[in-house]
Amino acid sequence: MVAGARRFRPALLLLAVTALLAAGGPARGEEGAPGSLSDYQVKAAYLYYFTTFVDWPPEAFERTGNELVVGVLGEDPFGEILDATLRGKSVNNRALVVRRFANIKDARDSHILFISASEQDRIPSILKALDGAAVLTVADVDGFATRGGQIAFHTIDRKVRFDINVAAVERSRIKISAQLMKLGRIVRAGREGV
Amino acid sequence: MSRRATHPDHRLLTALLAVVLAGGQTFSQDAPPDLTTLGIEAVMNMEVTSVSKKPERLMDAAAAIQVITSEDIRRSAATSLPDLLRLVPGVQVARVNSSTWAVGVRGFTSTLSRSLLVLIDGRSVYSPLFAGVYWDVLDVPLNDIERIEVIRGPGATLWGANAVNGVINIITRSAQATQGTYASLRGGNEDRAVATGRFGGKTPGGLAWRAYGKFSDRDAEFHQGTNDYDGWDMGLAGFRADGDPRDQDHVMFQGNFYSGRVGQRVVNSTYTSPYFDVVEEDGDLSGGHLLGQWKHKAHEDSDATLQAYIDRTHRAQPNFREDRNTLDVDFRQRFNLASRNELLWGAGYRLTMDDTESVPTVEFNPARRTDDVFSAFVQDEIQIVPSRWTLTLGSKFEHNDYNGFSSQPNVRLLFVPASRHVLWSAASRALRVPSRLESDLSLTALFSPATPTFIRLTGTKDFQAERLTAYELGYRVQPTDRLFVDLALFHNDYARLLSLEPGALFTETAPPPSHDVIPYLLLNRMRGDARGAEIAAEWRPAASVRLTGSYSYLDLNLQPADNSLDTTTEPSTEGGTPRHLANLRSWFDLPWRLGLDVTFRYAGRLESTSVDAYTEMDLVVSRDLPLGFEVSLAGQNLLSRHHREFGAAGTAIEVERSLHGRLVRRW
Repeated sequence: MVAGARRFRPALLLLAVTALLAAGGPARGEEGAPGSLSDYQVKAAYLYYFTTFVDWPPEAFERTGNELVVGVLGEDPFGEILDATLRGKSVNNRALVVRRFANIKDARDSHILFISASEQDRIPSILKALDGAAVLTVADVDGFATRGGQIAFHTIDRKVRFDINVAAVERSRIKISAQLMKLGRIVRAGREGV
Repeated sequence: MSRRATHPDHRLLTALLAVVLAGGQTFSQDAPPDLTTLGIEAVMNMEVTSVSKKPERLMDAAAAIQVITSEDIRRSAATSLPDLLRLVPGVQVARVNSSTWAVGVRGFTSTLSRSLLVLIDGRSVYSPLFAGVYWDVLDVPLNDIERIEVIRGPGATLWGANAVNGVINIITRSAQATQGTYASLRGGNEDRAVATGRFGGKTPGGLAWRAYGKFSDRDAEFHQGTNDYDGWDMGLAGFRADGDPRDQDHVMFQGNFYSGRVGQRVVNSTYTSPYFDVVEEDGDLSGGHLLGQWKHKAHEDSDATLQAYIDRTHRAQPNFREDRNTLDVDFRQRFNLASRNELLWGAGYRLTMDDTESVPTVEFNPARRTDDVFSAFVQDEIQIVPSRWTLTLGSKFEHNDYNGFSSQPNVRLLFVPASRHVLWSAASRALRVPSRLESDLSLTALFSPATPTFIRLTGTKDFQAERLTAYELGYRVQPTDRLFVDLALFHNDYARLLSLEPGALFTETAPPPSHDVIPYLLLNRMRGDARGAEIAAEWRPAASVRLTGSYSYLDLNLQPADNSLDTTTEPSTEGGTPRHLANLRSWFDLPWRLGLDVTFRYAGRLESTSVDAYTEMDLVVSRDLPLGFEVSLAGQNLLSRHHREFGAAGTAIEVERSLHGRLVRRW
């Protein structure tokens, strides 16, 4: 076991050094080193952009005191990333606020609702509960858009992209700008657009 | 897009901020991580360097489940499916030689893992000939795997017979997710050359497809005094297509064909002097499958899936040959029976036909056999108190040609006492149904050349299914966003386990010359119980660091029935799985787009074969390069030049340190 322990030591040292290196981060001012970018940083940014490309009917803001609510239903995969991304931002003079919900009843007053993968078994009933509501539903669950959700994130070769289910958007009372439609992959009547 | 978006200063700022974020620093108000000033199109083209693990359904599954994600696979040193499974708590993986692994979940580790069901996209790869999984033909491209779900404990209600100690569910990525071109080349001392290529496109009608190929040439492992016979070469080509012909429908087709050679060394006993013959020869393996799946979503809370596949395997070893054709049709439907009450039911049919041929001392009687299995299941999930108490009740009903009718019920209860806490418990029954081995095989091996005397293992037509009754308890907690702990306890009660019952010695004159035979019958005169615990934790101290660790404990006790004369099965089974297993894995995202992943694994001693406890280390350093290139260097088993993982000293092959480099390009 002595030999084993000796072999072990440099490895443990290596582990400790790298842990320090990674946790400490590189020196600031490192020339443009891109560092790491997590998918949820990108997804949080998308949620911000969606607020700028979507029109809600005015009555959708009556119950929220003119705030634009970005909700997260289920286990929150963003951590503080989403709060940091939306903090202090407003769109059309409406402040963006993040709310987290454990069940769909409370989440109906969101304007954008990110449905966590933890809810994927409950997606049909969630979407049913939101039927006709002015809520943009977003998730990163496989097949969310084809299952009746409005926007589904997917990661292709490490780039986060999104599908838009036009029929589902039309069923709700919101309008998505043509520009956003152009950027997403359209899932319509089962067929994908270009 | 606004002009500001492409302004270089903003890009630089964002990049710097991303670095700060990744370092786990809490950002101050005057330095928000602002991807929101770049414009959406810039964000669309940003490459994500770390993909977070989704909560999946992990948190509220009423079973001990662990998911290996595509990101876990991408950053692992493992180059084969069994090596990937080493990351999962409660799973013992021991490499026997270049192409053979012994895998066990909660005990019963063996090269064929008879109580473990393995499925790839819903297609069973469990062999009905020898009860188990031939890992050597599952050299699938790892980059096209979406995730691997490993369920410890019985999963027979949903997955069917042989899902006794665990289910491994390999799910490949949809063709929509694998558009573009991918090429990977790996080379090293053990994985001498592994080349993988894939191209994905789309038809004008909207059907996404991919075609892929993989070729691998693996070197023999470490041999003490024997030839390096166990090289392993495989070639595989396949396709997958996914499309949505209508809004509510999704169709998927896939198929592949493989062909390869595995170096084998077989000691064939012969009835004539010198009574045995050592053959070192390549086994010839080939096969393929075609699978179609149609999912229909009637409305929001109801869907149905129809799946069918045909599968063909050819296996020619120095001691036997098997050709098998399988047809499987499966239907399942899910709908809300009432509010808070979801019903899932399904029915399936499987037809399997084989044709065997073997040396005189290995005999299948009959040599050809056709079997069919009819199955059905129903499972009801009731939300007793919504988002607090969920009760799941269900059973599988199966009819097979060996045992006739059987049922495999389970009941599971999930309790969410507070947000981020989940308690679950389950009681289930699962069967490991007989294979051709227990029913039809007659295997004769030399015992002593003196008279000469042989031992003969003989299957029995009334071999019954091995039966497990399992009681499980689990607790998951996520005390903070950065920490996740998963604990599972189990008590498995086994009945009618396989035993080898010696009979009276007799003299046989045919085939000549005259010889003595000590018969052993394969019967069900063993019972046993296993108690164990598995604890796994994941901690993310910073966005760029992820640490996972697990520890598993197993206490397996077998006991021969009163009418049993079996003295070998008990010690060999109990001593074939370590009492303690542990692992520690770390992921670091370093500056300069470097990734570093270090894994330590510990496996306790195997008493039956005196395999010493060992600790091993795997390490991967990867770097993203421009133009879609990625380069990585990996080392497996770095702490020793070679070590024994399975099999008795002297004859066993030892696992060598493996170093390999890989170049990948995606475009």
